[in-house]
Formats: sequence, C-alpha cells, structure tokens
Amino acid sequence: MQSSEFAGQMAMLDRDMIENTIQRIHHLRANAQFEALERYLAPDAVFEYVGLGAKFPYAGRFAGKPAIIALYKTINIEIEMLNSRLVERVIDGERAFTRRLVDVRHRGTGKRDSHEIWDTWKFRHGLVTASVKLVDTGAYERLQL
Amino acid sequence: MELSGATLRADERATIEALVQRLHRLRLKGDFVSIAAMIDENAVFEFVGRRPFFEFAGVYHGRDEIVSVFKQLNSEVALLDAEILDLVIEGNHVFHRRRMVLQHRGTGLRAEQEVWDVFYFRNGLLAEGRRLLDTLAYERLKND
Repeated sequence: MQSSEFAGQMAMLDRDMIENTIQRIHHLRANAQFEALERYLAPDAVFEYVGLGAKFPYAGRFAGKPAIIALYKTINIEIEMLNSRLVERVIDGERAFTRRLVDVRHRGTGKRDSHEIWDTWKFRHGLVTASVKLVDTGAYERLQL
Repeated sequence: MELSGATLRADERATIEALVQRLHRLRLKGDFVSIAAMIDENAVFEFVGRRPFFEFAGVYHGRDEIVSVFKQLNSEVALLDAEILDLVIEGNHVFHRRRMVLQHRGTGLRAEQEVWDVFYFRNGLLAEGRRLLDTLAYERLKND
C-alpha cells in the first residue's frame, strides 16, 4: 500500500506535468508551431470555443487532431499572437483551468488588442482530451473595426 | 491569487464545493443578503472586460461594493435559470463554469450564455473573485 506521503508526491508530479504541458501548448500556439503542438493532443481530443457564433467565426466544437490543428492554423491566418502569458491556474487531478493574457494583432486591420482568454482542460495519460475556451467576442470585434 | 498546491482531502474538497453550490443557489433565488454573508469584508471582485464596451468591467473592492454591483446587474438583467457545467477545485481556489439564461428587464430580450468565474476562499468566505463572460453577447441583450 502506498503511504500518504508517497501518494502526495505522485499527485504533485502529475500536477507539475499538467502545468508544464499547458505552458508548452500555449508557447507552441503563440509561436505557430502547430505540428509540435499536435503531439500533446489525444487522437480523439475535442476543443470548443465558446462565444457568440454570429460574431465569432471560430465558435463551435472541433473534434480530432486534424480539425483542431486546422482551426489553429485558420485563426493564425487572421490573428497574430504577439504574446501569451499564463497568469492563473487551478489544477484538480486530470482537470485544469487556466487564465491567460494575450496580446494579438489582426493581420487585416493591423489593430492590436490585449485581452484575457480562459481555458479548461481535461487530460488522459498525459495528453489533452478536451479543452473549452471562452473568448470575449467583444475583444474580437474590436480587432476588426 | 495564491495557489496552495496542496492535495485536497475529500472533506475539504466537499466543503469548498458546498460553498460554491450554496452561492449558486442563492444567486438563483436573488438572495443578496445571504450572498453578502458569504463574502469577506475586504474581498475583491473583477469583471473582466473593457469600458465603455461593457459597463460593469472593472475591479470592485469590499463586500458592500461587490454586492452593490451584483444588485445593479440584477436590476438590469434577470437570471431565469443557471446550470453548473464544470467545477475545478484546488485547495481554496475554484474555477466555476455555468450556463445562464438571462433576460433584459427593459428590452425583454433573452439569451443563453456561459459565465465563468474563478474564486478564492479564505476562512469559508469568498475573498477574491474574477468573472469572464462574452460582453458582446451581454450588451446585445440591450438592443439586438
């Protein structure tokens, strides 16, 4: 039987692994390294962007690695991620919440904006199986005007 | 917000979850007196967003100011229903995701939207909170 101390150490290891993976994904996303990012996704991963569909073309569910990577590449054509900084995280077993501050630039209008993006995460065997993202579509609209 | 990093014992986790569930039920009932009793006197709460695009955006200091802004929101928009979609708990630090059905009391317009909160509790009271919602969806309740 595992001692409670050992179990606690294992939980901290898992927590560190999850935090490091999320940091790595954000870093790869910010640097448009999508092929490398794909390695952290489970084959059946599902990502969802929450937001006002009529105003935010990326709102919806994207199932499977190819759909998720295609989504990221499409967003990257329109919006350049200048900086992404993780400012808060809550990690609960294989589930997590993160809050990040991003600086972005619309490639069409040239407008820049800084705003928050909040994400939830689910992991299985160290890979991301689900992520839901809440983006304020008001911030997205400001980039386009 | 500070992270404890500690692994939660089941009873500690149940206590924090019960606090969040209670806040959720009280908000549904519009019981701001009981909500106020669950907020630390020196609590800080932020509505993420930017003025003038979202009139409630900003940081609110102290129990009275926080309850006042929630009452102001409630006088503008009625909460018809709400459902908890996700709870992520680490120590006293909680992420809380809800789907709400809102109706503007002036225009009568209704919308379903997600409201995400992150809370930090201290001594059983809400000490810090931050909320993100789709401010464009919220503003459209006023005039579609």
